[in-house]
Amino acid sequence: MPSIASLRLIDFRSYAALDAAFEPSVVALYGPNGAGKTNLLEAVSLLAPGRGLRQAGVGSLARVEDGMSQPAWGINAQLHSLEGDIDDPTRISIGQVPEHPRKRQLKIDGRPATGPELARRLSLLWLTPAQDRLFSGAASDRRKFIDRYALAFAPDHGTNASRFEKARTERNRLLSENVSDRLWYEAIEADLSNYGARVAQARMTTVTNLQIEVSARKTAFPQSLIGLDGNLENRFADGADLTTVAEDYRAQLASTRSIDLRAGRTLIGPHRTELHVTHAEKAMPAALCSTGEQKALLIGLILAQARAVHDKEPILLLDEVAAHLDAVRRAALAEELLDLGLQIFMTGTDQSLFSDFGARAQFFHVADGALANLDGMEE
Amino acid sequence: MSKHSVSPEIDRLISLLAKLPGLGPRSARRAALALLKKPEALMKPLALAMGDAAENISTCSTCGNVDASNPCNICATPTRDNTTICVVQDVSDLWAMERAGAFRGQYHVLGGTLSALDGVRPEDLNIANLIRRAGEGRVAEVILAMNATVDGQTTAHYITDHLETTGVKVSRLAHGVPVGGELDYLDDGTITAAMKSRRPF
Repeated sequence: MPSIASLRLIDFRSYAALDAAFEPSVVALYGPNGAGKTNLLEAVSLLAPGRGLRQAGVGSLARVEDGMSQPAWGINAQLHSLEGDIDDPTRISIGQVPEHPRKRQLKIDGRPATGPELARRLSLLWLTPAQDRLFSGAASDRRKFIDRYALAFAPDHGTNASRFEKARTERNRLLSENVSDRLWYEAIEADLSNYGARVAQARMTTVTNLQIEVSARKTAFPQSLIGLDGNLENRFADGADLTTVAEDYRAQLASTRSIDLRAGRTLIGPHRTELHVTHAEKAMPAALCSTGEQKALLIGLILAQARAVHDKEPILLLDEVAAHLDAVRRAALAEELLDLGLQIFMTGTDQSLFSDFGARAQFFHVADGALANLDGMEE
Repeated sequence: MSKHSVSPEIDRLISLLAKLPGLGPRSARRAALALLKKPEALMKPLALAMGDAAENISTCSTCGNVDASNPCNICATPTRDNTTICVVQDVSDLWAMERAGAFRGQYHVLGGTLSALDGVRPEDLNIANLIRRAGEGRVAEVILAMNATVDGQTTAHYITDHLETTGVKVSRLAHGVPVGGELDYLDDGTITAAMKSRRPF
């Protein structure tokens, strides 16, 4: 998969108009707080299906001038074309048009396209300060975290997860309205167990692959032990196959229907799964580690994921990562990232945070909605 | 269709055809097959015609039209009225105007409309050239024949603002009931526009 050759932003967040060209290697963005570094990272993150690294709604992305949101905004990216003999780089356009104020528009090479088509062109991984509380925060955030990683191993994981959620919503509706039609339940539970088992299986595959990558390489970042605790995931861990797990879950749903009826919702399934991460060396749950160690564990995980899905050439977005690290780990991070050989966008408040990259990265100073590269040339 | 079952020549032909507007992978496969079935009658003449066009056709440096000569045939025709310029988005719009035969002046092709989504900014369009032409003194009127879309109208406003300094008359095409159209089928916006720009009968 290609990397981003150039980016053009129009009326996006703090940028009225921006043109920037990027190398397919490490891109370091530095500048004061509020300069627009994360906005740029967010623009790149929107080139993957979903709501980007801030999880922002479509209405909040337009540039605001004199208290008024601009009616239209756009992100245009040209991708480095690595394959084929024809020099015709792909262009991705994401934005909003005044005619459809609540709809995000997506085009590939000028033609309307869908999220899955976009996912086939670009693969993105990101780490943001918002994830600093991942281990101590809500279990649902950890499930989201592993589900996002799972997309790289099982492309239909997103579809399966949303079908599972739809079936679960249906079943919960029946339960809360005290419906007692057995055949109706059975029809829904057939779907629920089928997709639930697939979701759990994809998560297990992900965690297994991730653990292999984590254990295979000793870095300056602490190794984690990654585990899933969930009814279905545990069955896979014991060696059961997809059909068995789905069948057993289906039987379980049927037998717990009366308990679920009293609760008014579905009590067992992959929607209750917990992701456990342990600091391997200290044998300490990640949630109990210091903030700095938690960050280091997270960096270890994203590096492992990048190696695990390396054939997809993911683009990494690392927001304010270097600032939390001591000098030794900062130097180690630079070497690890350069070793990946991927396109990596990083932000930091000060250029010195990236000194370990030396001449091996492309530097941009970000200020007042504009980018200037190292020798002060306006892009 | 697996990559192994189709030769790279055909694969390349299909993937190039699929880049054309209006063609997707499926219709590109159909087009490629149709060409392959008639190599002498269709495929080779098409290749020749494409090579010929690629060799000889250029963009008119005055108006942005495409033609074998520069300036283009329309700009070079002395009998055409050179005091009015009709501004259109694309060459296809110029052709539509010429098909109608309703205009005997000169054209100016912008090459698109302003669009944040598509990353089109004023400097990407042939606007500076238009302002220069309009300021040459001989031009009395600029007619904006943009599409009645939001992007088209935004572009029209932008150009109008920039033409103010030249002092030429700026007009735009009417919006309203199409010839042969029924009111019942029109949307509210069109009816409102038609009512606003009604004329003495």
